[in-house]
Amino acid sequence: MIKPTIKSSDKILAVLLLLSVLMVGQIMNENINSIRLAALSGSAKPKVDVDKVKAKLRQAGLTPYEAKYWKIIDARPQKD
Amino acid sequence: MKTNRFLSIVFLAIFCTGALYYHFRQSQSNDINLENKALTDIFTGPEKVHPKLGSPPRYDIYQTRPDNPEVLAAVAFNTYDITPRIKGYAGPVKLLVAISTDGTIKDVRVLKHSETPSYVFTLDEFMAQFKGKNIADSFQLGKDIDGITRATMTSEAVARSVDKGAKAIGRQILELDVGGPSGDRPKTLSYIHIIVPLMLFIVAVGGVLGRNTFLRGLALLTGFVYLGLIKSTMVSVVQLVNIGMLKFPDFVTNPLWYCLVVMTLLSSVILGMVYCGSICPFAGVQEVLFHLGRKLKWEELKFSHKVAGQARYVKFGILFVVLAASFIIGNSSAANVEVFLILFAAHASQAGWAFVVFILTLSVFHFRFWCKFLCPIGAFNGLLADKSIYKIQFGPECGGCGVCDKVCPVGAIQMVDDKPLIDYPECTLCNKCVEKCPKEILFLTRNRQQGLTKHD
Ligand code: SF4
Ligand code: SF4
Repeated sequence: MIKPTIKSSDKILAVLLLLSVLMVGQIMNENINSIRLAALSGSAKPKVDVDKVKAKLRQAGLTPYEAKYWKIIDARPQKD
Repeated sequence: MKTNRFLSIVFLAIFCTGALYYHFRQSQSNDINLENKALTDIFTGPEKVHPKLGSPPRYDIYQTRPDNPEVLAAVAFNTYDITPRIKGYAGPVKLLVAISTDGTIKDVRVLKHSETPSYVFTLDEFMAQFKGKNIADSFQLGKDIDGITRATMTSEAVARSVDKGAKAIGRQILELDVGGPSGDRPKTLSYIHIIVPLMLFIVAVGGVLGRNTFLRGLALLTGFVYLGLIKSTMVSVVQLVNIGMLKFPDFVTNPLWYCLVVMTLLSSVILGMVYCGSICPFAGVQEVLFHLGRKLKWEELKFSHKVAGQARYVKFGILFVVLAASFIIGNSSAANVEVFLILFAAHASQAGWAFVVFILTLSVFHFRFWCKFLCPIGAFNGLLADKSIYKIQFGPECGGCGVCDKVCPVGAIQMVDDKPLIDYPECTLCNKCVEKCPKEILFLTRNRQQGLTKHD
């Protein structure tokens, strides 16, 4: 087995710390988003009547787009 | 140590400015906007919502029919207006409750809270249980309402405030025969949650002062079982932010919170890192994993003193960023990034769990990787420990053999000019250096050598 030298370990440490900081950042981001979403609708998660929105879009002669934001706001769009 | 002094000043600046900013924002804001938003979400039809008025304060919602005069259809209220003293884990949980005139709960919406965000992920399902219930019903947690796992205090606060608030409105405004609140169990101070943490600190301090490895091990094990597994309550940055926001839990329902905070602060300013060295549940987990790695003869990851010394500032960076973010957002939940909170609360997103696995794996290869480089509350405790009244110090007979440097498991000792210089915010008071010193001249004593610390 190759033993890491102190020098190469230092490089590994830099990578590990970078990864850790990125993960901490991601967790903090999720926390902040969960707080924002809670404030957004006055409940823990907003509810959107996707079918109603889609029907309105169709009425206006548009094709509903399966945007990724449905997922973020925890609404499940129906497959067309 | 000049660097630690600088870090303490930065910490104080962020903490004080952040807390002032938060309180200024609070004084400018009220719940009316949130209440209005929740009301428009609930009442989507032609109903007319009258402005908040009366005692108890409430919104009257009228049915508007073209042929008829307005008929009262529902009443909505902010639970905080009626039950301001009911608190969750970290302060009040403000809810908007809408009730039809027949006493049926139309909806319950969260307006504001400071609970752990991972619990918020399940709060929606929890709230759904109230919908359609009659306010005359019983709202007892575990019987009529399922609580949120490992968030009993939050669940209890929600159930009690809906129950009490709805019944008060039902009786006084809707004139319904609803009886007394059911979920309001008499509050009794749980002495066990004062005695156990007190004993825990006594054992830990005994281990430090008596250089007793068994007592240290016992404290770590008790910390793991009691604080980690049973209570899921640990000293964390979330508590620090809540202190800055002046959000305190109810003492009678949560004496452990107070005991833990007070005893950690006291022990840190008197002796140093007692909590981190001998009590923190995650410290025990990391130490066991590390020893397991050595038992399995897996290669240890060793870093140079210099780079590891610089890398330790990462945790201060994390501390400052999470503090600032929480005060700016106005919610301590933003600070909930600590790996032990995720592990012991057992609620997390995929990223949270990935982080737990990542840190646990690193603990096998490097002694207390999380504590040394990443733990923000460990960084805060370290700043207190740097100013502690008693410290491990060496006598004038030190010949500079460097044994202490070699045995210190956290790399807190560095030989400079043949003298051991101790980085106190890193020292976990394990006493290994004291025991192994061939001249027996290292001992815990009153801080008399301020000038002999690193970087001066
Ligand atoms: S540094 Fe953090 S994880 Fe480590 S012992 Fe201290 S509080 Fe616990
Ligand atoms: S060996 Fe290191 S951590 Fe243990 S008491 Fe000595 S300086 Fe502190």
